[in-house]
Amino acid sequence: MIRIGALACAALALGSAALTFPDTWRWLSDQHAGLVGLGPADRVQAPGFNNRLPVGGFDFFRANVRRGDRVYVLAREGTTVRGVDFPTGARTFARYYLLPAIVVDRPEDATVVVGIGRDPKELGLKYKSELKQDPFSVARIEDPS
Amino acid sequence: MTGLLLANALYFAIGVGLLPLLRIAPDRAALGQRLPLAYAVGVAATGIVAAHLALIDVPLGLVELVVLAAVVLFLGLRRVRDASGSEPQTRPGEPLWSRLVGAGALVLALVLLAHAWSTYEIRPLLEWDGWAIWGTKARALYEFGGATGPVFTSDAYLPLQHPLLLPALEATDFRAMGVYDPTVVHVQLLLLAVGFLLAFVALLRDRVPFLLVGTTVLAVLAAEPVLKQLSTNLADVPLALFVALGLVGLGRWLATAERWPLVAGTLFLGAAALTKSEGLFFALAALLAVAPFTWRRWRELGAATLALVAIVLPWRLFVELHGLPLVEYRFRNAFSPSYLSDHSDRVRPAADGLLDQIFTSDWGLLVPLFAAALVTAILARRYALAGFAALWAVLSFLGLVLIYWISVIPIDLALVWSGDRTVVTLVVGAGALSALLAGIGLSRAEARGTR
Repeated sequence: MIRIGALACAALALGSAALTFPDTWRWLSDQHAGLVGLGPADRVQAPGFNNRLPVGGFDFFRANVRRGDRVYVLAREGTTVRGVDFPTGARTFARYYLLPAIVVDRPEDATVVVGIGRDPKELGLKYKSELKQDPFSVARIEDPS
Repeated sequence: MTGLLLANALYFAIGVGLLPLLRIAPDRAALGQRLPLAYAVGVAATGIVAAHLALIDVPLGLVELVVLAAVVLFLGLRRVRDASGSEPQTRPGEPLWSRLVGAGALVLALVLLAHAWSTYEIRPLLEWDGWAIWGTKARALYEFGGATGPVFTSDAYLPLQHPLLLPALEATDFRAMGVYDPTVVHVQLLLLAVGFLLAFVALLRDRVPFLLVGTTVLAVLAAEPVLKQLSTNLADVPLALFVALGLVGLGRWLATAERWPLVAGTLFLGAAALTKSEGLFFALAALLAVAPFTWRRWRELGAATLALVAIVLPWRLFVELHGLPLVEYRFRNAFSPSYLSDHSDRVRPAADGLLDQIFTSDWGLLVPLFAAALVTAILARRYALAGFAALWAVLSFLGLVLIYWISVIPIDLALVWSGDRTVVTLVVGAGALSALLAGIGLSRAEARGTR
């Protein structure tokens, strides 16, 4: 009886694999086919593109912030594909994409303000320099210490 | 890629050294037999060390890994030379056809993992939590060398409650590669699955027919959510793999009275507790489930519990010291009758939603397999083992329901966001236990020895 039970379990395990193996194999193949054409830059930008975030703007930010910077993200209203509001989505992506710069919650803690569809001047802060690439802007308050 | 593979070779070397040091393989014969455990043991131990060192801003890089591997290997191999004795042969009698089918299933599982490798090595971070939480933490550990900065302690980087084993391991890989590479790091995730396969075989092959070992590991790894979710860089599948190995270790200890599977199982449960917050809950559920059946061995179980506490303690102290908030729920509400009563309308949808995820066809027949294995264990009069497995599954399910009960997120949204992920540990753990449950009764040898 025990032997029959063990054989039944082995049969169930094999049956389980027979049911799922082809789908898992196919999913892996489909993923490979869809991703193999991506270049190095595409792979880095993929998290943003996959969530319909304006990656070009973030590349502009990334070129103008550096280690030690504290970044405040000033973003337009709207939504993202994830269902979260656009300012939260943009801030979340900035947390990842702009490392080793740090994102802060309050403009008064920032060394630099990055704007997406909004002008950093709205915050009434005094900026050392300002760069624009519509609709994106980088306004520096001070250099990182 | 070379740096990542080198780091993983060093994890293996650390595991080889730890097998004798932790008395998982006290002599040459046992070391040879249990060598497939080495990689998983090395990854778990190095992950724990890397996660703890991150709390005090000490980064683990290639040089440190080489030194650590050399020291552990030297001490371990020295110890194994001094030991003596031979391993009792306890392999159940198994016909050739049965072994061949088991071996064939194992080969198929390896082929699937090799196929996955070609996808994982080109897959960027795509899923939201994969980069927004886990990728950010791994990159920050790589950039800053530790976890005392704002990325791990400031509200701007919520959620902060996730422990650091997986990102610390990935940060170690980045240091070994000399670059932050969010694509190649997916290979590390796949290597965890390879390590699971090898460790699973090592934990069971001399007690359970190879037919069951091979077919069960194939059934678990072929289940669609396993490789699919593992590729997302979320910690749910790594957690599930560690918990499953921990359960199999505990189950073997319960069934055979050997001590080494308890040591290995405890290490894996410790790694699970540092992989995700709910890892501690799954690990405690395992120890709680085994306790009623091992009260005569309370010293060993007590030592395992203390070891688990010791592994988790530095992280818990860090959480308390920095006042890291748990934004999704307050655990004290689980003990508040008034809160639970006020939110009792969440119980039914939570239970139904989780059951839907457990019984989805994506898992194949893993749930019926677990049920059949429980019946087989009962037929074989392995009541303690069956009781442990059933109790763990029930406790884990009720625990998951409780978490959704006290969560502050609307129940429908919470289930959509995480329902398919939170059940992974439950299904994979139960699936992994099935081989032991169904096969241990066929073992010719009863519990003997204390190794």
